[in-house]
Amino acid sequence: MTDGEPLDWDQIVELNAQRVLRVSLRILGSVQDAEDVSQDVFAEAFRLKKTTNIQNWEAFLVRLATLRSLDCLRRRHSFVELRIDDRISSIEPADELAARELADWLRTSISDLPDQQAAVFAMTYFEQLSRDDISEALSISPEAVSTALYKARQDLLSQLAVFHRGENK
Amino acid sequence: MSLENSSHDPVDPQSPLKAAVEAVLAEPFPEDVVERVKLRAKQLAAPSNATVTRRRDYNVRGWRISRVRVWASGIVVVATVLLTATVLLLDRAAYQSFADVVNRAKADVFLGGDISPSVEELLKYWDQGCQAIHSYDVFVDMHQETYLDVGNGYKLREKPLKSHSASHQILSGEKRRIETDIEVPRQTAPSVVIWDGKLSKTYNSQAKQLRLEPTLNYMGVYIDYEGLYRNLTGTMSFMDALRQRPELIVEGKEKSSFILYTPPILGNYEFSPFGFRVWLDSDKNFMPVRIQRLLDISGEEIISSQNDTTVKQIEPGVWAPVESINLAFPPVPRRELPVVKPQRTVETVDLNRSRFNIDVSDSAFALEIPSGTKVYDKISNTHYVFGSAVGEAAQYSQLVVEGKEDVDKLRSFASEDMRPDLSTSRNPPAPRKTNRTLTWLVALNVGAVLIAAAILFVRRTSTKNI
Repeated sequence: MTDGEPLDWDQIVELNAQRVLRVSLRILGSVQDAEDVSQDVFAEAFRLKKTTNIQNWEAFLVRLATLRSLDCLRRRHSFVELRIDDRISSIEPADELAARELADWLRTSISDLPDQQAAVFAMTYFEQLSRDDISEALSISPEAVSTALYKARQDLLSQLAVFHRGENK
Repeated sequence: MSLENSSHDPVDPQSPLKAAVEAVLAEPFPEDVVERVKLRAKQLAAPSNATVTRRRDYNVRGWRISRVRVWASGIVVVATVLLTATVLLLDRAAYQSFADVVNRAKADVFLGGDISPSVEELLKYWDQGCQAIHSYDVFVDMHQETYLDVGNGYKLREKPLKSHSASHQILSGEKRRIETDIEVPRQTAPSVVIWDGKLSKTYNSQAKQLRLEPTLNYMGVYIDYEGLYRNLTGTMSFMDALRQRPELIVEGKEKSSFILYTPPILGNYEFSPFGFRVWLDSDKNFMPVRIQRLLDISGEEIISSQNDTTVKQIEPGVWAPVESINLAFPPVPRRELPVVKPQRTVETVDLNRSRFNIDVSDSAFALEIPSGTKVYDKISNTHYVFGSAVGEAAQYSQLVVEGKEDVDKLRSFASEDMRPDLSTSRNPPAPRKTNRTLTWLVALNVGAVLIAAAILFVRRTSTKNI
């Protein structure tokens, strides 16, 4: 897919739009925000396309979508709560509500992680990318991917324990 | 690299994170949104006149808050700069530096990004434009009509007074000779003024009077041609007079002219109480094409007079005034605006007879006076009749025997200490020293600006990375 003739813009969009949106949606949990971020990602990519020779558009867009979504998540986390109308359903069964809370907690916690750890965690668990793929996408060594993932897990586990203690009170 | 089906390190079933990750992965994926994303992304490559689908106003609150932060930071920076400016206003010398910075930025706006001169640069360019004319021999025709009754509180006359005069003016370096009220063909110039850089000799042939003065004084006699572009009165350059002013700014730009402005001012300043607004045409060697004199009347700034000058390139790189229209308004505010019936003076250079940048012989600055001329010597404060002086004045009179050589001897005779100390009286007022509190305040404000800028920068980089 990436080694043939250079792709034109429409092909790039066609091949990657779903993935970009999915990456954003899983990190942000909001369709609207994910759509906005996806649009920003493509706009940025389109500008870069004119000046930069990008070999692997898929990896590049996933990386861009991950980082921009994390940026958005941090901004939102710092001053805006999720809007009610963003929720899939305002009236949910108890187990779905619990799942929603857990997902929200995870996103909030990810936004507190350092950039690299957050990106590695999201790529690993949300996109299920391999260590080498993440290494290439983020331009870091595979060892650094492993280290970042380990630290992210530890951090999240600690936070999760606090979360559960708070819930049980 | 292919990202498809490349799962690694799957969630440990025992991990407490499993439920959280699964909750995220279990969320439904809106397929319809994908098409919208595709559509908008593809539109990026569409021609610029294509209609781009407007993005829905999602995340409005976040966007607004983010913008509010940026605006708040901007306001803090602006407020700090204003505070600094206010503080600097209290200090004359520092203000001038600050004004230069502001004006440079201001001129940038007017120039649309071209190189913008500072106040001092403008004065320098103006000076250089003037120095391109190092000598001239010009004939100037002057028509004047005035509705101003100068002797009666500047009341307006019903009918204007009209007058016409012509002058022949020669300049070479500092030396100058002006013959006024000449007619063609002329017999004798009624008035002659000669200035050699130190001594002024004003001779009135009708009254047979000679006045000797240490300063050039031709008030009311004529309008000096050099005054159209370099000296308003006397021999001090207009540029040097403006440099004395505590507030002198580049106010803006009109077409190719930069506008220098200094407000009306009281005190020991040249041309006080007048303020000035000067248009310097960058396309014409920065020669002044308009000069306004400003007065402060009861807190209101009015234009006292306005000089519009037509400047022409008389030789490559040399621009000189060829016509000037001066409008003088009453120095007292009147109810009707704009002020009507002012005094209008039109000076026109006869280019057929005028020459520029020529060699002028010293004889052009010689003065011959006949016997019986009354000599009023402002240097020694004596007066006598040429050839018949008695008493103390005789010693001077004896020196004025047969004409030009003797007048020059008289100048030599006058001792230096008999003349006013021009260097002292013409010195600009000493700028106030910047005090230590002010320095700290300035440093504090600059520091605040830098901190605000750093916060903005950090904020941007922390939320925008790739």
